[in-house]
Amino acid sequence: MKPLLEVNNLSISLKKQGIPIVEGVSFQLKKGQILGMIGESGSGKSMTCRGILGLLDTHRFSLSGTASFQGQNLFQLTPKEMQMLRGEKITMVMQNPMTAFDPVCKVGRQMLETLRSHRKLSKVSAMKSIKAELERLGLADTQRIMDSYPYELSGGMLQRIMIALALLLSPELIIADEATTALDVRTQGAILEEFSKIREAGIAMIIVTHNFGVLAKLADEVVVLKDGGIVERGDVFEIFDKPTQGYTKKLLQASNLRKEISNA
Amino acid sequence: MLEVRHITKQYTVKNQRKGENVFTSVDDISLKLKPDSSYALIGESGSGKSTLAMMMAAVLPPTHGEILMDGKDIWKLTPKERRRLRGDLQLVLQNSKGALDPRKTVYQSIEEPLKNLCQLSREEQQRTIYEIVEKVQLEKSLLTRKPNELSGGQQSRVCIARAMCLSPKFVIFDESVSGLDVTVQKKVLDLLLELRKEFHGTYLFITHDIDVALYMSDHIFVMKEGHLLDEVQNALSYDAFQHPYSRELIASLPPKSPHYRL
Repeated sequence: MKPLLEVNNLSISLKKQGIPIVEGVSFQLKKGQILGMIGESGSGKSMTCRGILGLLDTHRFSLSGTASFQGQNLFQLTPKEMQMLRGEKITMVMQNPMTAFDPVCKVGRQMLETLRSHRKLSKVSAMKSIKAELERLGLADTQRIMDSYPYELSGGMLQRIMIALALLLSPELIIADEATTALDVRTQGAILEEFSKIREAGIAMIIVTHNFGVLAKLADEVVVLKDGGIVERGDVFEIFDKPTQGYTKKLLQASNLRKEISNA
Repeated sequence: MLEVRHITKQYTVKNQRKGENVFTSVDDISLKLKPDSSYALIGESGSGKSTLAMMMAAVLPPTHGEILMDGKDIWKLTPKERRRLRGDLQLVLQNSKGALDPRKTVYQSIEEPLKNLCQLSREEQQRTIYEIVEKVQLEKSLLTRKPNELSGGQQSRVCIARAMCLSPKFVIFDESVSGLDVTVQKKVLDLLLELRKEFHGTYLFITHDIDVALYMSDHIFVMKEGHLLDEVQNALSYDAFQHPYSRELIASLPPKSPHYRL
């Protein structure tokens, strides 16, 4: 089967200073597959995702390599074509839901804007599908939520709204960049449940995280990033059971706090 | 000993549509922290953990109840006496970047409590700072830098150094490692465990991560919506938690390995 997304030798560097940020990253993603990207802060996880989505300022960053999505080279699209692709075929869920929304604009209006810029829908029918999606994600009080400003809602609620937005246009690929890092354990659990439902719907995902638990729950394949390059890749079971690289072992050890208690 | 007796905190919430209402953030909580021991407090966002921490650290006055430190109610002291108390009672916040003055160098930030709370000569001050900086494993060259030139892990070390330089009896860590990634988090937690062995203080770790709580302490409080629901002594593993809400928190943790995926 042809891969949905194929990234080949992607490199990103700062133009002015000539500092490399991401170097020679390659991976493939099949339809309905979940790829986990793990690494410390500053390892280039987020930059890779932003590069693929064309969200980097080309005056500041230079990109090389290829990224093809359904056979289309993403780096050759015009900004307008890219914008139509984002939101329609590929959507992104950001790390911090509190800053991802426009603070002076009610949530409902922001959702409408996104939906109606991609689909020719009347306000009423757009509203209807938004409400249905919110309800599916377990947000019952939809009218109140749509009439609220982002600061009036909790982080977990906003993150669900962002996921609802990401799902509204039935994309082929969702990129979740540290989507649960800012949330507490219980909300994280609920959001991860939503993600496993998305997997069942056959949507491919890239999950960026520094939490191995998130990968253990969701990922099929894992790439481990360090200083802008991939140090290890493999099936999720292989990575957890027999990591080959010292760096992966170190990360796994650091994330497993409980083990050392039983030894102590 | 730090003892919290029937403490309550209420906020008045003003809302255009609904008018004023009273929101109870911390509701009738009592707990005791013994000297030279380590405690942890877990709960979801909005459960009142931080409000409780601020009241215990003599930052925020409670609506009702009293907080006794070695028998004295810290909220009945005069502001001047309370200020002197600071040397023995320190709070380390979550957002270490926000907790440091951006205009001050690392040295100046750590110097601040020493200057204000002890009568030390300049040389003694300098010696104390160098000692504490070495203990928290910060390089000396960082002392002349400003907070924005440091990484998140280094910033949290500076905050820890600043709280520790007076060797306080009680330190409250309010989500002090939550913003850090796993490797840095582990390093900071190990550092705190070592510091506790050395200073013999009483530490209260506030976190939403049960793994962190278990790693740092074996006496764990569980909070929900302002109430203290569960208190577990000798908590060595998840099995120690009996309360249904604690079980619920544990159930929502992501699995440790893909083999346990449901």
